[in-house]
Amino acid sequence: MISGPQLPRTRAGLLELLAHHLGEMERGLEVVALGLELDPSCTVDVLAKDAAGGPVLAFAVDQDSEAELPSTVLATRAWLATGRAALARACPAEGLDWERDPRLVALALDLQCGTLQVLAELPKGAVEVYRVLPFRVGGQVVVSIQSLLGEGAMQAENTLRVPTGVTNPEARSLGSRYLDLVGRLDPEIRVEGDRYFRVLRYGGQTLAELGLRDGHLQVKVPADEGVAEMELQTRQDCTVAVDRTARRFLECEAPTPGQTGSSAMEPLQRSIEDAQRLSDDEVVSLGASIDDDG
Amino acid sequence: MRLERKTTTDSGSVFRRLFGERGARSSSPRESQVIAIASGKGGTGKSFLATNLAVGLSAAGRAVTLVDGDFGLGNAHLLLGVNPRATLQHVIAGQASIEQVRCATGFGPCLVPAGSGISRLAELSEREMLALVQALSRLAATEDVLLLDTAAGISPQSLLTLLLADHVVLVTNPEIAAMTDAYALIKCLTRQPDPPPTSIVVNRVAVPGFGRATFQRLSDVARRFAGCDVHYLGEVPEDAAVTQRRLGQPPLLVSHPECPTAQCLYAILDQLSRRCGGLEPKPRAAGRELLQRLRSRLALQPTG
Repeated sequence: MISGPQLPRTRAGLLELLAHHLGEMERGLEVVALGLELDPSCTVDVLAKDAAGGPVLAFAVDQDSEAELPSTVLATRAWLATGRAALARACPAEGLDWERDPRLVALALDLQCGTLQVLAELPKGAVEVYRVLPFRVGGQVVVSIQSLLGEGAMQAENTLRVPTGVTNPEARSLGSRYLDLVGRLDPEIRVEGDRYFRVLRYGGQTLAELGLRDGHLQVKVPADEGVAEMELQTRQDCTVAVDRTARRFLECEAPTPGQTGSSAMEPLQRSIEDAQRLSDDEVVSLGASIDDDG
Repeated sequence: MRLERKTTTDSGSVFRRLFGERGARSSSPRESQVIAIASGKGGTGKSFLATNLAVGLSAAGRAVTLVDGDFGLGNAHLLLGVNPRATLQHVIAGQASIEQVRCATGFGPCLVPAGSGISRLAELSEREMLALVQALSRLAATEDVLLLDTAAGISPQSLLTLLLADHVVLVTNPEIAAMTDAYALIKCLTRQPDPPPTSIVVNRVAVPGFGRATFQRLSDVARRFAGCDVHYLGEVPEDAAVTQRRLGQPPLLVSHPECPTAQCLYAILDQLSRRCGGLEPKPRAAGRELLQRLRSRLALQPTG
């Protein structure tokens, strides 16, 4: 049974929810510390590190704190401009790379459109905003994360590209080559992902995962004996990973008509394309003029 | 039956009459009238019309739910002042029921909001579309009218949504680009088996009466080249009070119920009501529920 959204009633409940489910917002996100008071007007609810080790400062936004969110973001950015080194010394967590620009993330159960519009007018990349909706499914809390603003929102539209969190040019090139070649196997291959991660599916089955690990891209392909893991450090690695993924593709069952849009959608698509091709007579009758080139 | 607008002076009589009619309803299974609001291109004022029709129908005593089917770019929640906690995205993903997602608005109709800013929703698979249709079927069993605000333009997904409808209201304007796209949509609908009847609303009309002239041209071309008849519902004038509206303002029928544009909207509602059996829920005919209707129109065989 599914029930929800089940929203926590207290701020403590909200913080607990976010701390437990932060990793579902983005693969590899780990909590480092909770309740970091930078100064009396600027408290970070969660300090986390992302898959590349970059610091992530997260704010839990409820009805009471929503109005202050834009000013809190600006105040935190201003504080980090001078206090980042001190914060690095104060929080020397393993694997936390303070050389990377800290990301500010706001996690809200609900957000007024007006607040989102104000946040959208802040400097690009100032803050990423996510809506978090907890549901109870079969006795367990499952969290739905919706990206409202920032890189997460954009990435949902560009999943065949290498995750933007991968900054090393060589890794990006290899990742791009891998995704390009795998994407050619079949147009029904679906790709989802976030800043550091991509999962490729075919007919509802996982073909492969592409993610960042220790600064290198890694491909994981399900196999009989478990999972085959391959690092992409050379073009040869890339070829091996594509070959392994292609073998996995051949093992997967093709999507049935009920699983994809192919059965009913294709005739409709053809019908649409046909309907959109208007004859000169039709166009002229509607009132448009035809130039010499037709 | 004529639909009348609710004002402070006549709402009592309108509601008494409507409630009187409701008392005489049969207890046999009913299904709501499904009206799809469509446009051949974006920016024609489709969502403006959909939200105001929903408000007008609700004021006339109908149980109305507006379903924002503009997957990925839905904005009906903004026009109706709702900040949704869950959307159709959650219904399609099986994370919530449509009853949980449906929310009340402060203006009468209920709303099922669309996901916003999620392009994937504009590319639903057939399985996801069927999950959506099944959810809408449940709503259709409880409401008088389901208004589907469909995605602008022509895509397989928007066409599937139109094929669910008892009646399609196509919004266009006098620009040639809008007329061409509207005609392509009419042509496309006509080519489907058992297409729903289609009516035209011409929006952003600068000169009163030019809406009918625009319709006439569109109708002539549709009859001559596509072999189909379309009907005229009315025109909506170009109105700065509409184009300069800001988010957070109530729908026009609430904020300016006496203005000329509102009168045009009431006239359109009245025409629509005449075309659709008073916009009363209809007896549920076996095999004609939403899902069966879609399968019939797509010539699909039932599965499972």
